[in-house]
Amino acid sequence: MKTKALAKQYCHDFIPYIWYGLVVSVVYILFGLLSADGAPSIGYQLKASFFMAPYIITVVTMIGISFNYRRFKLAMQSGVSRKTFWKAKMLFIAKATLIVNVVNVIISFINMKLGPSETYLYYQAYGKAFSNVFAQSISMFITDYVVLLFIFVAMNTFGTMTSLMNKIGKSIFYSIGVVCYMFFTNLLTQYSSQRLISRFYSHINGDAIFNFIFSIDAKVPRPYPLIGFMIILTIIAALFNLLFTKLEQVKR
Amino acid sequence: MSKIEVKHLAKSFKFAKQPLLNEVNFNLEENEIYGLFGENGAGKSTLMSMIADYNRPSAGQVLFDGEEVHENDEALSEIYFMNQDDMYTKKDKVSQIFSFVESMYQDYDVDLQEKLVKEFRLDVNQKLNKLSTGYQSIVKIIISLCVPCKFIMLDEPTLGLDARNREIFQSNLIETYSENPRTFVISTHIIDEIDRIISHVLLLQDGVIKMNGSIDDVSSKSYSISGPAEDVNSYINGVKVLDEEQLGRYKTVHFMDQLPDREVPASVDIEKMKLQKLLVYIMDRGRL
Repeated sequence: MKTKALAKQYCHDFIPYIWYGLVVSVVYILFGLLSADGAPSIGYQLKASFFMAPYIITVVTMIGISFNYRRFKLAMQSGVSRKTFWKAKMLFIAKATLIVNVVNVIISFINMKLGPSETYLYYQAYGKAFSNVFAQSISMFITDYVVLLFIFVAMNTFGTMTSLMNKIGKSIFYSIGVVCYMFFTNLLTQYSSQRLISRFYSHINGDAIFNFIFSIDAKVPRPYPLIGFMIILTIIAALFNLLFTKLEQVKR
Repeated sequence: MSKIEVKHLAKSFKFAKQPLLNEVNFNLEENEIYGLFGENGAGKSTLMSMIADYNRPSAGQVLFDGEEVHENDEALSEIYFMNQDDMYTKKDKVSQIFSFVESMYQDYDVDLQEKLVKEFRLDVNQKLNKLSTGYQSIVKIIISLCVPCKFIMLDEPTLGLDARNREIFQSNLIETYSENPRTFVISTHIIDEIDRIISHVLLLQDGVIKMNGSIDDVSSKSYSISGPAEDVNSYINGVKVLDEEQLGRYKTVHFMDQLPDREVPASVDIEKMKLQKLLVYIMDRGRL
């Protein structure tokens, strides 16, 4: 009873982020139209900007999902254990993913009416998976759902981990993150690093792994291995989430 | 009868010179009202937060009916901690917060909640972050009195409350306790207002419980004698005095001992020492 009630409250608190995502998408589209210098038509510019809307909504809602500490405080005030709080979080994330996925799919269908469906990654990879449009839509929905579920669980796990730190700890953590990012992007521009990565990739037979996960070389690529792989990653991320959640405490 | 046992509880913070709490031992029995007292920074809030499993102790354990409170849903559902932090969603309306708490506790007392909302004149359509400090405390107080928990801990419940609202809180606390007895642990610095409500005294000092007893036991051997100075002096001659105050010819002395075995002068008044006076003395001198 408490798990469901908490998850419902978290969903209620999360809904505004979907609106924020829609607003940011609209702003992005409008800027896209405003920046059109007349060479491509307004209609083309609209199609070019519109397909980004689901991705923008995903990024904004990712941020909303990552906030963990205030959800933790609410759970503690309501007399639940950390494990029950974790269950409520997972239930909330599953529901939030469904809501965001429905919004994204609706926008995607609108965009497919405006322009070609090949702008979407799913159709680029699995456009020929099913001949039946209904089956194809269901497949797209489920694939998007599991990918989004993993992203949301991973983001909440990241938020849970950082909520264990104080302000100084977070500053150090993010500074290290920025430095690592700059270091690795610089490293990747160097030929010697690229050769090293390429050798390692060949050594572990990276092509075979990617082909299996994304069923790229299959006669009729289907998303089943990808769905299975994402579910496994989601379970791993959820277990890390539980580990971090058990360490949480209410700060004064 | 349920019971919370605090056993060898200790808490140390990193980089602190000494531990905040060290070997804290006491029991909370069911259906009693405890006053938890101590100086600023003594560790009262930290102690309550560990009982409610908000924070982990450095050592020791908190048991509810013999079982560890930590990660125990059954125990935690019987413990409610009203603390000074903002635990509820600030952007929510008060009515939404009440609905959420009602959904979390099956036997939440909605009738009492409605009664308290009227008495406190609380606008439930306001958002929590738009309320004054006093009214935010009132929201927490209402929830604390309505939740069906066996052990309710109130940390500075009257913070920011005016005299009228403090009176409403005290009268409703007594009324709800009479109708539905459960254990309250009240931590406050306004001792004078709650010494008539509490049945037990817990004094936290120097990381340990310095005083743990019923209010009757604590006050049984502590007196305040007032009257003309010469009469008071003659009556308490030979008694070790804790403190004394004099205004002109009028004198008041406070002591902890048996009453002298002599006739009480007619001009002298004898009464039990006020709890605040006693606790201040103990906190100042550090001894019973």
